[in-house]
Amino acid sequence: MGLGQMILSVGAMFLLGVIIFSANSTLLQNDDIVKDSEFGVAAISLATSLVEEVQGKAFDEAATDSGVVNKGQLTPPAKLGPEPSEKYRTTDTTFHDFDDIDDFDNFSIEFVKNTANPKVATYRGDARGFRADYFMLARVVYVAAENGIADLNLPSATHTWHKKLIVTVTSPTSKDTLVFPTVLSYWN
Amino acid sequence: MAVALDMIGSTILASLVILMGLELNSNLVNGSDSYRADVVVQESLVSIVQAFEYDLRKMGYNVADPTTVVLRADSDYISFLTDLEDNGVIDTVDWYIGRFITSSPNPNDRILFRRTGMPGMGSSLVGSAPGVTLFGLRYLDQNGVPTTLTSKIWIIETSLRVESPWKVQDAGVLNQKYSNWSYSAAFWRQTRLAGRNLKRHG
Repeated sequence: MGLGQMILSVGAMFLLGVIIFSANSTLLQNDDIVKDSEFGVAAISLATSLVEEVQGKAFDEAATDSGVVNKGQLTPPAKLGPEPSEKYRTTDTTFHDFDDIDDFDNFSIEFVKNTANPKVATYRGDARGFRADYFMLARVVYVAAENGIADLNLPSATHTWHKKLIVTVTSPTSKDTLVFPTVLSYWN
Repeated sequence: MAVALDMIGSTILASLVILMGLELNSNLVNGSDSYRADVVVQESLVSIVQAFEYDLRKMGYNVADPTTVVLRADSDYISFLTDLEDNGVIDTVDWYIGRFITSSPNPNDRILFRRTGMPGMGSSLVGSAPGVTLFGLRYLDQNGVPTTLTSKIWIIETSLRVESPWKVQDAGVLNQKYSNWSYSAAFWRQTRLAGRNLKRHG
């Protein structure tokens, strides 16, 4: 084989290698996208579950057993969160389940397959059926939407009739963080 | 002698090139199959969830006595009353999973059925979705406590899993052995779907 033929052969092999590498790379990228999408679907189911659950609660601790007519009766913005006597879905009779929206402020729950791992979130949910681990964090803030002005993005420093629930879902197997904001209002 | 060596060398090289080409083709075909199966499974799951949750949200609409809304509440069968067309006529809606499909390559493959009708007048099949391998229902009262009393049901927990009928290669693993292939799957769990038209009990 002459030198020219050798160079041509090596060049052809190089081109073929580039094509194979490129094809494999495309396949793996497609797989990443589809897997991300699959994890996204499951993450959405978890986030909407939490939103549904919070929607079923009273607007405020003050509204759990009676009506509220004055904003001053509502929980102050700095005190949002569960009362000391409350725990999420507890079976402990000395505690009560969460009963109002802002009990879910700073609420975190994880759905992990390997339950031997140390707990990262406050609560741990049933991970059976999921093909990835999920971590969910909820925040609750007051937002202003009154007197013709609506600012639903920034937390309000004072009580309002509107609370914004922000659910964030992350997964070590997904690049994306899913965020679900929902505004819940009190009508009196 | 040199010619013979050239012939042997080029034959080996050609064989290698052909093998690489075949492997590339195999990866492309299997990867494409896997991609399509994943997409179909996910689309199917989302469609089923949309239809099912749409019905569940209407559960009890226009029904005079909210405690009679749920007619049957099993772990894989639910039947309830609602006014689907908002025409004042109460309909029955049934969602349930059928038997295993023996002709499917996936042994867990079943069909999810949706039937509608009017109370006491039978019902007709209006939808079916194959590929469902799990359709689980749990019923809870307004306090989140599991209940078997249909009159107390306020929250429904649903788990749904859809799988492809054929095993596919994991597209993230090239040249995977067939024995390691698995079914494409997508999973949904809605843990707190509250019936908007169901009365909360005091």
